Amino acid sequence: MELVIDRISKQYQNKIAVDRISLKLQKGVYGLLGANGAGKTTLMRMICGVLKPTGGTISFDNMDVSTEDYRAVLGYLPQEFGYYPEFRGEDFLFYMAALKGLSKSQAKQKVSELLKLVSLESDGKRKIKTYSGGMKQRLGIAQALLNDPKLLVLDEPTAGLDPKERVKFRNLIEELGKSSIILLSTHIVSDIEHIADTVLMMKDGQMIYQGKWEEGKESLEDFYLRQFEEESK
Amino acid sequence: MKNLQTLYRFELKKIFARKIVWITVGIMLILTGFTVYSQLIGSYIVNGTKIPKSLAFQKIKAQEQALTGRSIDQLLLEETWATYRITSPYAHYRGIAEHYLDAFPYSAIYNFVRTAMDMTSDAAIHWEPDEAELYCKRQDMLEHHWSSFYLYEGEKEYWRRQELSVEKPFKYAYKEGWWTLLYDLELIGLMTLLTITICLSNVFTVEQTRKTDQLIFCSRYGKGTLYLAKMLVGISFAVGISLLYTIAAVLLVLVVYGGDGFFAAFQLIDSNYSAPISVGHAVLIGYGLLLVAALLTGVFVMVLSEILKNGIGTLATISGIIIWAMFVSIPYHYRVLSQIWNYLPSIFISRSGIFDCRLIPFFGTYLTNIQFVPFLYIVIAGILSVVGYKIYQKYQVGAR
Repeated sequence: MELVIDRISKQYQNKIAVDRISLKLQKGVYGLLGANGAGKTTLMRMICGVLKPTGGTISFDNMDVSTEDYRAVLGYLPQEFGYYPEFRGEDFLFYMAALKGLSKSQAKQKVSELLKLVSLESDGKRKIKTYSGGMKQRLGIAQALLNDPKLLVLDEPTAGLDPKERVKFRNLIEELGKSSIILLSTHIVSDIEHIADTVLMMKDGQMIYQGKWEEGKESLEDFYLRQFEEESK
Repeated sequence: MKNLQTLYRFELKKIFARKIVWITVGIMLILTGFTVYSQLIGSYIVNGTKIPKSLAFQKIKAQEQALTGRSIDQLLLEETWATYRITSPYAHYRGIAEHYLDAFPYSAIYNFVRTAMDMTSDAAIHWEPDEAELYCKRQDMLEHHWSSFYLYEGEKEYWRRQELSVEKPFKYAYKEGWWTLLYDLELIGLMTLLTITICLSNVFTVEQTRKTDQLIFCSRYGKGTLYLAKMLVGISFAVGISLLYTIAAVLLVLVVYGGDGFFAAFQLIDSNYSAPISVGHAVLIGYGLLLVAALLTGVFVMVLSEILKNGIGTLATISGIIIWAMFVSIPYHYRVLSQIWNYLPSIFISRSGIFDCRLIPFFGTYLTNIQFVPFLYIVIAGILSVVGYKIYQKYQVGAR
């Protein structure tokens, strides 16, 4: 199981959002850190095939990012999670399950399982417009997991979650990381410290750090903040 | 097939979850009812007394039904003109009892003769009824009509041959219901096209406004099957709406006016037309073509919204085209241009648009609008669907 990102770039008119990034990701949890505008979301969108790179290639086990087979193993939670306010929570999941190619019986089983996992089992029949921000975020996490993704991309997944839910989510990610590639971005450095096997750090579209963060080393938060200080000098 | 049925169901749910859809359809249904019934709103003044049109209608209907089946021959023409001449010296003859009681039931025959011979009101009242002259002048009028549309000789020959198979003398029939449906086709068509535009302009753009596009485009069937599901939902909504308005109009017409006169000659309504069809058949053709026009409009609205990536922009553009087309006409001497302009759905869906005499040359023969336009609309809808698919495939999630 390998995600290969080869010299991927994204250039807008006068700005290079992502600059020739190459990565090889295997099973495990990867924490992506970076300031606003560093290119994290752009990189994640390209990995999910919703944004076409200016240059470079992305493949998962030799399946190109543009193929249906690639999308079949992908789970994605965008930074701004979109939903249909008039849909009930479980309807939204059934819709996403159909899009992800699950049969009716598979969908039924998976939706019930995931609603329980994200503590929404008693709210599944309520319309999403009545959900709180945290509930919507949990629904977003549930939809990303519908197809048991081998590649899970989570953009700011813990935003809006209460501390209890955040701990639960960390444990879930840790478990999923044993059998899948998980790439998550967040501003909360402690989340990365707790969950990520490998830390990726982006600045101005480039990958400035890539590797395991060993305990005993300088704290990740200090290192991360130092990058900002250097930027502001 | 790739969860198409399930996706179709959810896409349909998205359309009907919008309040604007229910409000639009509700208003249009009320307007359809009003359109059909509007002829019976108001009253006649007979010898200073108000008689509601709805009440007068029952009496006139009975009298017209009594005339049904009679040939428009010398005897009936003399009878009609005799009743009209009693009342014509009066300036406001429609308001006197004699006209109300005697002449009104003959007005359909009187008006048929007047238009078939292309006479002014004044000339008509002074005309000496003559059956031979009526049918001879109608033939002259047809030739003049074809020339005014700049028909080629081959087209005129086609219509002359068609005219031979039209049974004459025409038989009068009470046909108010079918006449009303044909008369209202234009308005019902317009309401159908507007409803489709309002309701389908966000089938694709809703994913951008709701920010669900990212989820959809990274899902397995989001780039292929979902497009098909959305298109099928849009097409079935468009066809369904045209059927809904049609059924509502037909039911109301049958209740209010009755279904008599289905087999009456179409020429009693449009004396310029030269094919042996009945009024009822013309209604079936007209509303059948509305279904095809609805299909094309539905596809066009959805594809345009995919191109513009803006539901409001799509709504404004198409409404603008529909309104603009109402005020623009291309002179007939620009033969090809004016004929193509007539195929614009908002213009074509009308009695004059559908039963236009201009033909399409086709491998040594000619096709009428009725034969050609459904094929044209379906081909355009197919091409647009493919173009839309290509654009949909290239979609990228931009910066928010």
